[in-house]
Amino acid sequence: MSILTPQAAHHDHSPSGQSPSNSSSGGLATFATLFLKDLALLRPIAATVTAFVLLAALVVAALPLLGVSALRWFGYTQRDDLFDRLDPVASIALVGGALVPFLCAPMILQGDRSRGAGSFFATLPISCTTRWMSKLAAALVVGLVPFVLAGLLRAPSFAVKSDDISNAMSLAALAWLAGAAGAVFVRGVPSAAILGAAFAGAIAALAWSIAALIQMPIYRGVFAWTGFDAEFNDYLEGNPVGTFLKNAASSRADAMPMWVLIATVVAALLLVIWKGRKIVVNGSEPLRKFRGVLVGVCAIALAGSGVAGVLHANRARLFARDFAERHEALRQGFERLDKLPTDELFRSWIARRAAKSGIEKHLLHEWILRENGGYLQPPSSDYNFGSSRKLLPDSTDYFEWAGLQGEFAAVNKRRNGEPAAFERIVRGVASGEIPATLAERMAAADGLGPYHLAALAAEQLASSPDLTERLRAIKSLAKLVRVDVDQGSREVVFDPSRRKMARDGIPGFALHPSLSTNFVGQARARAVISLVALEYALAQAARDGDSTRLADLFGGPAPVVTAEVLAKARAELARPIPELRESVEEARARTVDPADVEALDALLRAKAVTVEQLEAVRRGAECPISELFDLTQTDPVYLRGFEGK
Amino acid sequence: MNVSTNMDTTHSLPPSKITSPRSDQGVGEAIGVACRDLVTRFGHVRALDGFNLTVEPGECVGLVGRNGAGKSTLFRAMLGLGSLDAGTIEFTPRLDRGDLLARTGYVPDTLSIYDWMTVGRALNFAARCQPRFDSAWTNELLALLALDRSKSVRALSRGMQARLAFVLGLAHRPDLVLLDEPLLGVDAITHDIVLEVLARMRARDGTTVILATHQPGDLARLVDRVVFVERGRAHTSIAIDDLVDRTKRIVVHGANAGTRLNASCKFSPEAGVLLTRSTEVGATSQLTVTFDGDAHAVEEAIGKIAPEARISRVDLTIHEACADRLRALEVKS
Repeated sequence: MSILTPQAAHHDHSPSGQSPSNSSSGGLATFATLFLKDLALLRPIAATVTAFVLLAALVVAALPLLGVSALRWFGYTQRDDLFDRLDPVASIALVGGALVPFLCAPMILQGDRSRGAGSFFATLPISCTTRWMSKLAAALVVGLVPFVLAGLLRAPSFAVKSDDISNAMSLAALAWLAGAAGAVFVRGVPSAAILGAAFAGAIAALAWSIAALIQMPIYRGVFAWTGFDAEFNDYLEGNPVGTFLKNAASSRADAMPMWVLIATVVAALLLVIWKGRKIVVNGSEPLRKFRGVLVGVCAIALAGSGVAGVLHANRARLFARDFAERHEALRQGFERLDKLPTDELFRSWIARRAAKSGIEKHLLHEWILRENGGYLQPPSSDYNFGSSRKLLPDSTDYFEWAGLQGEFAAVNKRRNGEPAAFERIVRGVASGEIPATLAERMAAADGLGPYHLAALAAEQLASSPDLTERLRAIKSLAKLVRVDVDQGSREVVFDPSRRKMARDGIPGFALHPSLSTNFVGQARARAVISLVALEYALAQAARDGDSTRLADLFGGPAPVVTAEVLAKARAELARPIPELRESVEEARARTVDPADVEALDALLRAKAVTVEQLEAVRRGAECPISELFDLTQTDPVYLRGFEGK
Repeated sequence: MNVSTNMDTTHSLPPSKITSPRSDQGVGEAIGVACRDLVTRFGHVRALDGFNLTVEPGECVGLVGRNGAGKSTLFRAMLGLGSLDAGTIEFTPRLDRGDLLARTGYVPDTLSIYDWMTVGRALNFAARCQPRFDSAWTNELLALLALDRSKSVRALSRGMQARLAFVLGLAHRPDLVLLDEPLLGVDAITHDIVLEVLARMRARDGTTVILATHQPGDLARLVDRVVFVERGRAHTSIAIDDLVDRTKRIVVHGANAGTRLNASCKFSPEAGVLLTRSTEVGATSQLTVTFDGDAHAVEEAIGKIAPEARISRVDLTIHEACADRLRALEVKS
């Protein structure tokens, strides 16, 4: 006799509680049948989504029919091939891949019921494991399709856009879970999707709130806002998921609370799905023990948030320990700066900025490190390896940053009170009226305008005594121009403060497509563009004899840039950047800093990739200028003086 | 054989139609069920409220009850689809859930199959998922019920859907068949064929059948006994042969007899009165009494209370007998 008690009836549906049965159908053929059926459950949405993607592809492919102006409005040139133009479809696929799972999850889980076969499917002698696995496989296949599509469409620049794809996949994973959790409670697909999203949001909000409540009292009084701001800005600016994963992957203590909170949300959603699995597989009534599930979810949220709070508290303690002395020093420094005379304060500020940018590692190699994960020999031995360290409590970078903040606050306070004096001193330093070093003049010119800075950078490039100065000048020139190779918007030219430099006034150009992942090559090419833009602006103003316009252009009295200086700058730009690299093995052998050792070991593990990236960097640093541009779309003026170099 | 063109086969199934041997001989042992004190709640509603039922292997039981009495919930509980709040369900012989589902056929009151499929695809799907699926037997059922494999499920009429549900439920030649109003919307010929198929399955394989129906007329042709279900409980179990014999109705005519008898409704508790109904006919009243037991004893009791009453007996059909018993249960509840 077999006995089904209420408890037994419960467990009998579970994968683990399912007794193996000779009569149960669970073979490969059955799995394949169920898998195809589960895919077919998505028919209603599949038609809509496919039609939408095809329509988008059609529109993008048909753009050339609208003429060049329409293409340019969308950021394309006539020569862009179809594959490049389809890039927006990849974005659509990414967004769809991230959001559609909210609908797909309920459709796959509830589809047997909603498509009229609930009791039939439930009474088939198929093990629960097979049922779940087929649905999981269908979800995986459907979930991966948009990302594969996006990857294919972005193949030329896949590496650059992998962050977008990983972010979308993270969101998609949460959407699958949340949609499934929603499907446990309600039967309608749209309402399940909405409920799932609300459910995930509510759990996250609950967990965050509790964690914040726990950590806030500890943060108070220990320079709270700075620590909080530093941490969350780093996660919320730019690419939050990528930054987060990067820090989490390096097992830094900073990321642990975040991991705990995410694990909390996922655990709560999994609990709901697990408790409600009978509904979606067996087609039985909606979750009846809702109160118990809610208690379980709250318990998980409380426990997870508690752990996260403790981790945060520990981190705050470390911050506080390191901060106590430095905070006092910062405060005293601020008071000292606040008492300085205005002229002295502003000049000190400019000088410190110039000095900092001189010793800082904000040179080409840092970009390469950050963007490519490559390793170049640092110019100074105390180089801090890896940006992921800046969140550590003992991070030197962090305190440097905090110190700058204190100084900036002192300067800002005075500038707001005496704006005229500030402007007089900055202009005076930048133009050379007030005696200053070239580095100080450049630091001051940085706030005046792109042409002013370009002129000074050209001067520095022409007279650069060593490699560091030369790199610094190249970087100063390059930062004035931004060219998004991979986005197809190849003619966008602007300075970092968004003031357009010479968008309409300079000849047309296009970077070589291979530069999309080569930042050294890009930097050199951008420096060339910047120099050409400067030459054009100077020539135009001189032709018109309009000194007022010249002053407007430069944000004040124009620095003297002779043709000789420009020619010398061009010559310096044409010179290959000498070998900066040392092998990763050599670097590993001489490094003693544990953090650097760890990072270098990671590089060694990924050596094949690293070597490839470094090779690209070398090409960018050593190749002739002409190889940096797409010559078919570039005006010859950009190559003047570089022929054969 | 095309049943629609043969007058004989439209009403009486040829023996050859259900004599093909089972493909998995040896498995076809009949299944017995014993439900004890089943309780299932939906919020404040008790769909099953201490339900008890024992069905012996090979037995055929009819469940009769009003809408919402708990019959469908009982079937779902037996199949493990709904969670029980209390009680036990025992199967004889011992079966785990996989075995149970493989050997049980469930015919719901509405067709349950994916709406995008055709009849053929639906059957193919069932064949791949049901290890005991019997293709030859299924083809016979399809021919008997005149179902077209190429027809879309969506395009099937109500009656055709009922036919397909029947085929899907019986395609694996189950040892236990649960039928939840399987004959809704079917024509008279199909009705006969379905009952005939079930009867032959019982006769040949000893299949256990539990049939829930609102058409008591079907019961006489198939079931061994009838169980009346009301508000989640099994109240009365009576052999089908006794149902009409033991359910009696008399009409008492007389000026005041009905009123007096109705006022003392316990005039003959030992006689098993189930239901009394008083009606006014002109100036006189009459009382209709339905009871379970000996008519003489009831008439004797009436004679003592109202000697002037004139009593006439009414022969009940199985439908009337069931209806009166259900009314009686409702009044009692």
